Amino acid sequence: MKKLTASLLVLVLTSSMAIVSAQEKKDTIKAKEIEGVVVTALGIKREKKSLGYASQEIKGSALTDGTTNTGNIAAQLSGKVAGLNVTTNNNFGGSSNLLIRGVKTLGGGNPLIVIDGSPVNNASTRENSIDYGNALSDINQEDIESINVLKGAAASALYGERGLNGVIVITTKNGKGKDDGSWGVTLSSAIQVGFIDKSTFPEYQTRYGAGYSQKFGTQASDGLNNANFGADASWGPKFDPNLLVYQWDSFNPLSPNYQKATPWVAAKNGPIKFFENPASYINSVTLEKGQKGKNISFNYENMMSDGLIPNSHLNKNNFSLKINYDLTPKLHTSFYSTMTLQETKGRSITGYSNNIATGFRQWWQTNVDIKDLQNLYFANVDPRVANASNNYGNVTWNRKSAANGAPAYWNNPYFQAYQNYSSDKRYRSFTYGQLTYDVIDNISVTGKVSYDRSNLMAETRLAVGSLPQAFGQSNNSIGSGYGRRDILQTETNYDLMVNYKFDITDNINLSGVVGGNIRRNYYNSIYASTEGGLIVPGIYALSNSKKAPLAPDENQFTTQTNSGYVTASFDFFKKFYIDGTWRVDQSSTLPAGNNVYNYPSVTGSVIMSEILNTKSWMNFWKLRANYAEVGGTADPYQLANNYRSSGILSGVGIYNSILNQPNPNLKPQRSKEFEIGTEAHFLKDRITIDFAYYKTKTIDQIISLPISSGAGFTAKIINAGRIDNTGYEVQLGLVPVKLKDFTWNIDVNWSKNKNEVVSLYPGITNLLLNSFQGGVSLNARVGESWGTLVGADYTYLNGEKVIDPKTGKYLQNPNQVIGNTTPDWIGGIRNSFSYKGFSLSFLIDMRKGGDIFSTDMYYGLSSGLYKETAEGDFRDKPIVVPGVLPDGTPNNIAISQVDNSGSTGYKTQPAREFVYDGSFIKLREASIGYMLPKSLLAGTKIYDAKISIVGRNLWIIHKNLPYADPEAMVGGGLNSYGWSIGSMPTTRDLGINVTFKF
Amino acid sequence: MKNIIKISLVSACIGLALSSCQSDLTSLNDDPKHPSVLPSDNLLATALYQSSYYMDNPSVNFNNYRFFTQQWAETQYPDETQYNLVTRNQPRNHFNRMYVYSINNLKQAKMNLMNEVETDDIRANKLATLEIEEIFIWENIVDTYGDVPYSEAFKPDEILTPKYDDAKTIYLDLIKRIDAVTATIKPAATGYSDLVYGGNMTKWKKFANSIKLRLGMNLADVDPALSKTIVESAIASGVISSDDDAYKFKYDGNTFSNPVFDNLVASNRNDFLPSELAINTMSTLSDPRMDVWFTKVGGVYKGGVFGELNDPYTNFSQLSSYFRSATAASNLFSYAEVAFLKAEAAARGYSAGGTAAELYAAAVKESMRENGISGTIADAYVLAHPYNPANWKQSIGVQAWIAMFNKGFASWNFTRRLDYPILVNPPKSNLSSVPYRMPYSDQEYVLNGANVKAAGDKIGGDKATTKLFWDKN
Repeated sequence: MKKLTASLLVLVLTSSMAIVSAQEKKDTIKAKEIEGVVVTALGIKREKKSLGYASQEIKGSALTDGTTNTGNIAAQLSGKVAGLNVTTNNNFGGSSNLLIRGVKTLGGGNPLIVIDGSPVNNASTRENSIDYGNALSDINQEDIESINVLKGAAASALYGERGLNGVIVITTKNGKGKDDGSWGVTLSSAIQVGFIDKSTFPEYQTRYGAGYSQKFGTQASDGLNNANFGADASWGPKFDPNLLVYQWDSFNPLSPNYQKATPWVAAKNGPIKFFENPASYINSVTLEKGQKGKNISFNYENMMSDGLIPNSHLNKNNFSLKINYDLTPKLHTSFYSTMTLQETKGRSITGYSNNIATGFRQWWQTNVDIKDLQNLYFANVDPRVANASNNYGNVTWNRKSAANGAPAYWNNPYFQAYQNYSSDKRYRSFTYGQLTYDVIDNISVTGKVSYDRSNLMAETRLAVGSLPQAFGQSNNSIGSGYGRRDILQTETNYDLMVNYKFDITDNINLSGVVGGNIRRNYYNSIYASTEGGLIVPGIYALSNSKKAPLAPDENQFTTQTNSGYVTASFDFFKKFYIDGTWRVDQSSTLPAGNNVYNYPSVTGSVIMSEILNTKSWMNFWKLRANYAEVGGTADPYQLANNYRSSGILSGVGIYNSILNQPNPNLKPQRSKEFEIGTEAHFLKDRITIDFAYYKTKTIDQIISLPISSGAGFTAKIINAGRIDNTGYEVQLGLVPVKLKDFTWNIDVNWSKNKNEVVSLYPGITNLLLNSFQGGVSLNARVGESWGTLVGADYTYLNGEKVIDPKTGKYLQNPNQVIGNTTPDWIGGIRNSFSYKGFSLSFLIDMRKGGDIFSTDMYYGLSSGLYKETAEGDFRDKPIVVPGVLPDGTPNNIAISQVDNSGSTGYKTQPAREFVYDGSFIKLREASIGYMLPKSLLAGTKIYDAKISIVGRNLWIIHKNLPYADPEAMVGGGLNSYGWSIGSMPTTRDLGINVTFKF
Repeated sequence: MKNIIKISLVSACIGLALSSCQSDLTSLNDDPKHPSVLPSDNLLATALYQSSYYMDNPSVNFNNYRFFTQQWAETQYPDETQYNLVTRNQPRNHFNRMYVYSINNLKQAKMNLMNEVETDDIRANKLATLEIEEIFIWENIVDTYGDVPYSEAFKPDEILTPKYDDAKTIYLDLIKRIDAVTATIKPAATGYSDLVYGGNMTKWKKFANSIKLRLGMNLADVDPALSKTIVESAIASGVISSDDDAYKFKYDGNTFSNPVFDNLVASNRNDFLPSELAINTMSTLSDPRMDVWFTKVGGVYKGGVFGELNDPYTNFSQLSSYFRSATAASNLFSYAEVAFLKAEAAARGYSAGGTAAELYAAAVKESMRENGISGTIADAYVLAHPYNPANWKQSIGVQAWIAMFNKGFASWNFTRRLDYPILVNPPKSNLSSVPYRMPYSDQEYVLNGANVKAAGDKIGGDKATTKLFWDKN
């Protein structure tokens, strides 16, 4: 057994760790957490039983131990909190979207993230169709002691408008050294590999090749056919191994098939072989020392990942330091700083254009072998042969014609991945310093400054030889270019708080806070690009621009909110609790006169188990209720026009037109929430249940309301609209078995949110939120849940689909409601077992409902890629589609299937056909862990050793969306709802983690 | 008690802090990087660019005029030549470009101009420029859609759902506005150094009268007497009289390129072909302009079948390099068009400064000259294809349709008025006939439902096949 530990050590040490001086093994006692104390708004610690609102705490270990490390803590919250909906896409380094208790504001909305009481930025950045992820991924998972999710307005009212969508309170770990005062050292190391879940990638038909119709369009001079290179579809001639055809690779001198016609057959290697197995290596070391009042903790973590797409790589280094030091018994200081340095190459392109996965899912030729593309790319990109005649290596399957090798619509995917990759460097730091002075026993004063800063330098490349595309500042279509964006974002918070605590009588206590906050956000970005292409291939610099670049695009804003607040918490006989809060905000982004607003909250709870004395069978029972209001401000610059230059023409500046009419009279928006709930523990906590019911009303929202363009603008910024959310949340904890060595725990989270857009603006019943490729839009529509999908439906007659007698195709009925992206409910069940040193756990994560429009199916069924387009004699004879003629008689008109305007896909079927129920059941997390027995470690310097095998997304047990993961949306924010297009396949991730404590 | 005092002290401090920085705080919301007020020159330039680029744009997403007149065909994706005007929201896109991106900037420019320091004459000329450009865009809007929001339009502070006005009423008001504005022009003074006429107010005036000529001619079948009066008064006041006077919006080929170049060349796509109708019509006439406009395939001209798949594109004649210049101007009111309008006026018996035959010959020759055909060849062509008074609609219609090749909107006015050449609805068409108008923006049904529905009912249904009020035959 010694040998095993030794080899594990090698594994750890080879992963380039800081060298650590290990200490002699000593017994330690973990500092005992005070039972039932949770961290609430502003870092205020409260006894959980006294709270009059729903909150749910997740320990750091529950976030990290059961799963592979996704590099994004947001993703790992999925299925673990009732009422928290997590949507994680498959983009490399991409974003996870968090939503608590449904969409409250018309434009969506993310919860506020708070670390040790100070807000941090969690914006999702998506630019030029690249998903740069959400900023929570900068947080080092090793630093997290616990996460407390404040779900309702009452819980988060002290954060003001930013608490409107709930708050995720992260508490960082304090240093805990050993009892003898020496350093504690923890090393951990993980290796993870992903394998594509084939249910999330297309299954291609193998019977027909390139073309939009079943004939070869052109012939070579020897009379043999040319493949339909220019057609990015597979509705072409039927495969026939005896038929020799000049194919895309017959024209490149470096190709083995140069000037040869080859058999017309399906490719041996399909697009799925393009992807690589993503792998990650994560290593961390923690040094800690001290005890309560004086402690220090230092952590370093490195994460290296390779993505699914070739030439994608991420390297993240995170350093964090936390110090708590009591200068005197009355003067306490805390300091925390974390810094993340991240370099990423080859992030996924999302959406329709220029996305390799969109090509594979919508526009592809089944006769093209991906390995041949790989070979010819590498042969031709060699600098000795790369030149204009071979498109600098972009030898693509989709050449324009036999004579013209330029790409018609799609680059060689390898050229795309290795040449047209994006890259970015990110710096992020979050630091706070805090000083608390206990003035008298009952009163303490805290001053705190926190500073959150991030820099992103993102570069995009379009290599010479590429398919022209809209690029750069002018957005003109061009075949090569380089662009860079630099973004600096900071948030500074100054806090002053007075905490007070009095015993009014022996049994009646009052405590609370009086405080003030000044928050300043600063944003500065600059974007510059080449114009007209690159002069010298391979040099990605602004100075390598063929035409004069436009003046760089600059954006800058500073916003400030000044706030004051008071809270008071009464405790009567430890049986009744009443809390009140009041906050006033003054915002820089609203007009003077409308920019000061205040709002209250009241919460109450009753400990019924104390009153009814039920302790014999129900050891705890609480009833709670609360009411809260929250005000919200506007984004910057909504009060006046701002014109952006779009370039200079013949000496005159041309500007962008103003589409949104600004509004100098904006008011704050407002949200009101009422919540009741109960929490009960039975049989000494063997059964625990928590139930919440809430109703939220958000009014006077600041929205960009689309108006008739006849008024001169496409939209007007306005206070309008009301959204109601009503929902239930259930948390259930069961301990079915609890023996000396064996425990079985079941944790269930379930929530249902009903959302209704009650009103928008007089006379307006629909607010367009997002438009999807394929004629479908995402909307807020009065009387429906937020997230209405609108597009063409069938025309129905007595429930039957009506056929156009002229064409034999379905009669389409445009602008109909064809779905809704809001899920019916979400839930998660975790089972965990522990037996001596072994632990086993798995988490099933579920979503019911939430419709998805698939642009991939909309186009892909028309371009003939999928296997259902070539089953049996489907393409061999005309088809009569099921339905009725307008007179009600059964359809008898056959449609020819010889070309792709036949009976499937976007040309024939309305968008409604491509809306799928987004329900899923997933085996989200699974892990087996083994804690080595102390006896085995005796004599080594290690006092704790754990090895575990972890898995993530191992099995999609159920889904309805074909060939894609229903969670894999385009990006964060509005792009994370209801649209499946060109998503990366999902991987089943497996990893090995080892952790040693010295 | 001591504590209560402390608490109230702290609260008071916070209160003070809040009130003291009121003005300082709101000034943070002034954008340091972008102006909130633009000089009227730049608003005019923006409107000129937007209106010209999108009136001339051959993209499937915008006006589709070249398909309405069947001059162009499509290759792999023939949806738009099958008159699918739903999927790509063409009605919405054009409506927004004209109202929001074009006219609204002119409205703002008119307001800003009043606050700019200027002599009275120059101010008058600048205002006239803004007004004429606005009228020109209105003419495009009315002749594209029919009844549209007009009298209640551009009042976003009062009216978010403007009613639709009767197209003929708008016509008459536009004519009145032309007469009013041309009277204010001070030809001796300059105006803007604008991107079309460089501040030459005489040319702006001729252009204004030419719009009046277009409007007047369109009224020919619905109100012949009024048409005659307006056309004659327009010609008498002086219309575009040479290629030099034509309304040409010039691109630099750097940031701003010709929209046809953008769609044929910069896009690297091969979506469009000259139609079989264009090539066959011109072949029958042995038209010398074919050599300028089209490439040959296998030694012959071969057009794409309108409304059908024409794949691969290499099997067909292409639009030649003549149409592929990044710096070519958008010629939105050519002298050739004016010449054909005058010929038609004469054919209808109006006084237009010559006989129909003379003016027809002059118009055809002007088109030849515009396309670089020598005078000798042009003379021979006119001799071979003389004006036919017995079927003048065909004579002028077919020749105007050829002359307006790649000038989609101008051409569409002729085909709707003269019904020549005969445009056949393709077998796979989504419509019951060729389109005579652009349907209303789909968004209007969501954002201005009652008014757009009323407008649709009034004109006889919001369909592409409903004829405009002036399109009587």
